[in-house]
Amino acid sequence: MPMMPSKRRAKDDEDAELNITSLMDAFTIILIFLLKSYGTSVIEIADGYRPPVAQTRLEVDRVLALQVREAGRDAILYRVGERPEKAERKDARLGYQQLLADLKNEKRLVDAAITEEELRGAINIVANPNVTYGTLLEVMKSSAGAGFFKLKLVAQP
Amino acid sequence: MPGLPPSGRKKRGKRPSDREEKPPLHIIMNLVCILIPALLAQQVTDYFQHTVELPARGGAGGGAVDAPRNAPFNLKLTLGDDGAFMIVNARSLRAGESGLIEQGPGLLLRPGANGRPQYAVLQQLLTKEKTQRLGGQPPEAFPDPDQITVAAPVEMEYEQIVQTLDYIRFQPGADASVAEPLFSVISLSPGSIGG
Repeated sequence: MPMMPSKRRAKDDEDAELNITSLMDAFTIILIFLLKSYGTSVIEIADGYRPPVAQTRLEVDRVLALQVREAGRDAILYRVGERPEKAERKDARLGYQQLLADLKNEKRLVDAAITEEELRGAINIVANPNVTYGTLLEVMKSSAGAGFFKLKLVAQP
Repeated sequence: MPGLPPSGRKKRGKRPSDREEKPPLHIIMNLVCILIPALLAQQVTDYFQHTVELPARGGAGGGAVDAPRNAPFNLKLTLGDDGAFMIVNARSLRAGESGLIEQGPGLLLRPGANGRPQYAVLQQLLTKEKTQRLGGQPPEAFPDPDQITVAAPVEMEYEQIVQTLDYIRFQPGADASVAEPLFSVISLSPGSIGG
């Protein structure tokens, strides 16, 4: 004949709960990690701009971003950092002078704020896949003319 | 004067329910379980980079005492509109090898039968060129073992340039994240390149 459980044991079974305190700790750590990486995106790419697809897995550095897309033959739309978008038509002799001037202005601010010496003179170029090589070279020339010699072409996986 | 009478309330022990009251963890757990997948989904798109430079102008400056003793590679690669590649200044590659044709200042690699550029073949050829040019010597024995200059027609789309960079930056490997570097210093130059 089976024994009947005592009243005390029956009450203990009733009160027994899964201890999720450790699980909560682990989840909290994961959440903090994800929130931190979510809030510190290296590049904010604006609407209308889209980097090409590439196989490289070299991580993007946190430097000034120049976003470029074509707006017709020899004309571009661009954004320097978080500044508003601008348009410019190429000068046949001088290239993109307005872009050059904007980058020179930004270089002074960037240099004042930079903390890692190896990133001095570095710029992330986000160009749409259909930008022509000639336009890209002109943009790179303007960047180099403004003092940005370390040119980093941004791509997406 | 008599003091106030003692309180009639008896001190009682806390009830077990008062003593063991727990915060409503299940609500926080539900919130966390929603937030984690949501944040993970946001992490899908990440960005990567190809570092390039414009060709340097002027001389290389004064030579150091321990300057490299071998001649520079001076390797150049021209991309054609039709998907062909021209390798200039290669010393270890020969015409006929992997479909290479001697043409003009260098060796021409025509596009594949499907009309697409032969990226993988180009990668193998450049890897062989670099390995054989080094000839077992350390890279420091050469002034530019990691450098290559790339040129393309000005009308070529940027996407095609980036695809080519993928194959000349790393040696052949299944995964670009673990592949050995091939040419890490890439100069982008306008027009075509002669010898």
